[in-house]
Amino acid sequence: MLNMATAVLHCQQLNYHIAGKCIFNDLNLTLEEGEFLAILGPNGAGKSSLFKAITGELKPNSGSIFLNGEMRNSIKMSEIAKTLAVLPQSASLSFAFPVIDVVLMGGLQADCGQAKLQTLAATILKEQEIEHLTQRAYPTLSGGEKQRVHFARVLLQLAVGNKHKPQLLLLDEPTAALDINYQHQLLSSAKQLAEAGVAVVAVLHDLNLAAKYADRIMLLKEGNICANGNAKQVVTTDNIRHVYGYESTVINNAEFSHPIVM
Amino acid sequence: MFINSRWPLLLPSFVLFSLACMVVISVSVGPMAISFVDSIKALLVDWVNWRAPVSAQNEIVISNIRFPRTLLCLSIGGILGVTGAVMQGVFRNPLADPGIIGVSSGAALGAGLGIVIFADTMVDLPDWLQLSTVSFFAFTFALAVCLLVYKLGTSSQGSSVVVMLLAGVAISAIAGAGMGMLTYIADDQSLRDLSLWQMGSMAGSNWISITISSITLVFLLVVFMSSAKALNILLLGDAEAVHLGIDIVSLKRRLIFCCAIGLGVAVSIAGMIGFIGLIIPHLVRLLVGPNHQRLLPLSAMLGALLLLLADIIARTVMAPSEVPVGIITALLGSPFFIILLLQQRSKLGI
Repeated sequence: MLNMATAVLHCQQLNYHIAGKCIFNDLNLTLEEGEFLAILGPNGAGKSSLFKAITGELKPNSGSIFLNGEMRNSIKMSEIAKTLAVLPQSASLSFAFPVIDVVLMGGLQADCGQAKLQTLAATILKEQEIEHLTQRAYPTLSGGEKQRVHFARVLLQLAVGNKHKPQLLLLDEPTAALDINYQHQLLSSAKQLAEAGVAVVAVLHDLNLAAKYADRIMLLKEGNICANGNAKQVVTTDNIRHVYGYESTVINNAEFSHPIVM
Repeated sequence: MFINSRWPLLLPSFVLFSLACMVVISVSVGPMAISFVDSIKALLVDWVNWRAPVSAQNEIVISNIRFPRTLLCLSIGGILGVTGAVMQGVFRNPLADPGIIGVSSGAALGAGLGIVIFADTMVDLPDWLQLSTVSFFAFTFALAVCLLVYKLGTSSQGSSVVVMLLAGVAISAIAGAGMGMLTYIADDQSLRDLSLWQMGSMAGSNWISITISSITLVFLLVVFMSSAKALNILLLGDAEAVHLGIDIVSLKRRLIFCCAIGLGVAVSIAGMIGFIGLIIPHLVRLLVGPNHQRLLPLSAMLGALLLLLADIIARTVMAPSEVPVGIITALLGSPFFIILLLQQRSKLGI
């Protein structure tokens, strides 16, 4: 049994149904400091709803969510923003902000001065290899570039957030618009954050990406957790058949640290 | 990419300088010709007690008639420019203009009701209270229309231009019917007042209206500037703003409420003056980008400049009679706006 008091995120018996249809039922989820959790499942499995319940966009019908042992609802919004950052699937910004301004929006709750923020933002842009976009107008970027800009914004939000408490990073299908090299770049950045103590939850579609980067994989089907464990335990032919109804081949090769789904 | 990246103070200084020049022009032109030099002298006599050799007649025309009117143009233009910018931010839509979505006509109906229905009871009240009552009615109606259009046209994806514009058409039609009704039942005095603002006019300037509109402008700038960063983030989307720790419900409520105050005051004093709230924020965005910290003060300044220019034209183009300034702003504004859109839409993606 995991200790609830030290958990970064703890969801207790979450229930959510709309129009009589159960989206998820009595769902429990606990995430420790530095853990990278990937949530996968077929379309309509309840991944997005669960994700939105954690981000606060959606109010579950019953159950409670705790952040660092405190009830989510009892924490001030500006305090939540210092420990929890969310990368949305897409953001619809149609005003011509330069990229640097979009990234700096992540620093809204920062206690440090403008000069420090600028330096931090510049460092993050460099690390994420989007320095060349700094002065470009956001609406002129491609889908993938926009996604990387938002990731930089989220990284800045965590960088200026509350360092005294473990932080939580939520990624909603972060790789959907990205080329393969940037998929890996983004997820390895998330992995590095996890190694530095940030708890990461990512909704993913690709089992291989999940197996490579996540410490724990959770398979959802019709609002229930079908499998929950490390890649070797979860990514199996049986589980994939049960959850997706697909006959797959899973290769466990000593060359790779994780199983590969064909 | 925008002209302020290297010299952030260049544009505001230039606009302030233009404003000063425009004030001098504004007090110089009119049925009685006064030279620029004499105008400047007269203004200095008024404001720094400098004993300049100025003819008494010039001084009276300027300090009693033209200068108050100029000040009113500045404050009303500022209010219209800055509320336009904020409404576009709250609606997350660069087409949300108080005139287009029906808020101005709603406010005009409120002001009309205030004047006609309470015409008899208000005669005994002091001037400032009469104006405040009319403003209050205009504000209430402006607020109601703002909230209605917002509820109708906005979803989590931002706001739908089509729904917003159609709501504007419907609301303007209702307000038009109401105004027609008021015109029908109004007595002669109220009728004159009513027709004065339907097309917008700065002729009703006096120190009471100047005081009320200037206080409103300062109040709006303080509230809006304190929300400028949050307004930027609001453009990302409601969910993203919440994730960054913004209480969007109270933010939007505050901003819409203040926009309604601004429009209520502007409409009850100067009537329906369209397009300033639409063109000015657009123009400023093209010059300095969409960041509200720069957009808001510059929108107020350029709004003031445009209304002053429009009023100068309104006073001179058919002198000695006056054209309603609302007609001038529409004629100046709409073609300009269309050209800007055509030029810039591909470049900036707006």
